[in-house]
Amino acid sequence: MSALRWASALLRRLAGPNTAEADVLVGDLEEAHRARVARRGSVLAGLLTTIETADVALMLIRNRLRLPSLGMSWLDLKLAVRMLARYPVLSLIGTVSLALGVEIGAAAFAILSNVLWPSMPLPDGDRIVSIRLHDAASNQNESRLTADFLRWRDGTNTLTDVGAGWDGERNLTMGDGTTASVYTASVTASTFTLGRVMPVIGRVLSDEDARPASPPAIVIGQKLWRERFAADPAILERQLLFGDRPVSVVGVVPEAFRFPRVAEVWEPLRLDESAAPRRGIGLNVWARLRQDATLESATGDLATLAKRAAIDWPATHARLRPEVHGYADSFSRMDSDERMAVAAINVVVFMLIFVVSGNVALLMFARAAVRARSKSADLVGCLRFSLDAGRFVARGFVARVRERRQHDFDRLARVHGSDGRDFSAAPFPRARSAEDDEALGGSRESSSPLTLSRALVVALLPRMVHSDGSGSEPASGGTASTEASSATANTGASASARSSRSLRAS
Amino acid sequence: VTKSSPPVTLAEFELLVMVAAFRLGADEAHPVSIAADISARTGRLVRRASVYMTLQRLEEKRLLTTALGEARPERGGKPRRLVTLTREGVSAARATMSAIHAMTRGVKI
Repeated sequence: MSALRWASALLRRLAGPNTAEADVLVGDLEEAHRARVARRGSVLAGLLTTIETADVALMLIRNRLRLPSLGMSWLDLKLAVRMLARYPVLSLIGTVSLALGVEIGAAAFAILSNVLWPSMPLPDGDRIVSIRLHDAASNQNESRLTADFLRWRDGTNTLTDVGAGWDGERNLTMGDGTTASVYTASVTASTFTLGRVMPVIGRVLSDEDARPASPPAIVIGQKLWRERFAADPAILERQLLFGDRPVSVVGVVPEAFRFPRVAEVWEPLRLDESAAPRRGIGLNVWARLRQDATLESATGDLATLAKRAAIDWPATHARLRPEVHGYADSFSRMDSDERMAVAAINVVVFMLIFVVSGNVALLMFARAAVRARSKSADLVGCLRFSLDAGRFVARGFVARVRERRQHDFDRLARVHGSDGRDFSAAPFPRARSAEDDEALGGSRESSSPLTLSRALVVALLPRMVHSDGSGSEPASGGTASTEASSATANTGASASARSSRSLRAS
Repeated sequence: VTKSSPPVTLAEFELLVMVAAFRLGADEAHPVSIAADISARTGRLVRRASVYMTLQRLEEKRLLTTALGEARPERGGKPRRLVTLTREGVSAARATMSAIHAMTRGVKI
């Protein structure tokens, strides 16, 4: 019945505000589902209902967005698969090129988006902010924030889960009794609320743990628990040496949670709440923006608190100004010029994808052009095209030779005192004498090899372009291609022979 | 003298939907029963989304009308959208069937 429930919810959501229409759709769904359950059992009925719901949902989306039907049919799909299989080399080149282009593009975009628009890998991580106090007199940030943190935590209207802490490294006794250095963080309990962390086992730190009288407690990360304590649940009953004091592990948090930076072990932050302004330990302060708050409204909110602080503590806070930044931005210290330079990489990646797509499109176009020219996609078509091209060039060659020789006849007739009609009856070809060459201006038939080469290139070009077609039919392709090459290779020679024969006959 | 326009002809699936709706009658013709009827008689898999789309198209052509029926217990108390053919719809179905009969009469394939 769960399939029916989510399907009904989906259809109701997609049907929009028209509840009558939604009722009809859901009613149809339920009626069809009940009929299927009676005929085919609940499991198969659930599967079929799921598929059908997806189909109806797509139809509703298409209707809602007023998208035209794609016009794709099962036949189109089969044709596409058949064409891919028929030209495997082309398919392989196209697929690999596009995959490479997409891969590089996706990787570059992922890197750029992390550099230019970083976000914390936590739920709604882009709403986690870092709060700093900037000293206008020294142009430096003030890190002794205990007194300010307490005021911000209790007085802000735009931020929630305001927390503080610091991080570092410390030794921890591992499961095998050895000691190793681990990244640690001393944080307020609100930090776990901020990260919306659910412990894997045990619990997260609470405000109680931060009281001086409470027994020392820590929370460890899942990776450390798995790798150094063999994921032993009994760790919650053990005491470990953390630095130089014994502590109890009260919980294990998921591996993805490393807040504030790369912490593996968290201990409660014990603040001296009586610390004077701009005294005490150095702290980082973080918080989450409330639902309706922005960075600007939060900055304005804290500025109001800062004015009060400046009145209350004029000696220390007269020149302090609060700043609110996205938490992830605090790790990326790039100015606008550097950001522009990094963003320019996007242009290069775009050009790369453009070139790849262009090349694939060119391949497709070449195949389509050859198919259109030969009127057939198979090897017979290719062979016919090659032969046609060869014949076309050969015809031009023959015409040119005829014209040239007639010209020679006329000139020789004038030199030897005879007219062209006598030469037409003379045996031909005869070896041209030196006298003849002199009479003809010393020019022999120099264009023949060039024309022959041209004929060969033109005849072989379509075969080279269409070479991917031979891969699909290896048995017949071998024979046909041999015939094709021999035919095309002989085209120029046979043209020459034909020209000789025809002239001889004349 | 105005020349009367030729009757609208239907595509194959449109004809199947129209005939199924006609056979089921105004009280029983709705998307689920139409899809089931076509599926049972032709043996083909009929997508209900296709039936919805076709009914919508035929209604836009004024070949049929739809209206909400009574709430039904087997549908969790939800109404059916009942389908009724219009006079133009019946004419169109008849014209299409006549064309098919004319073309297929005496032909054995």
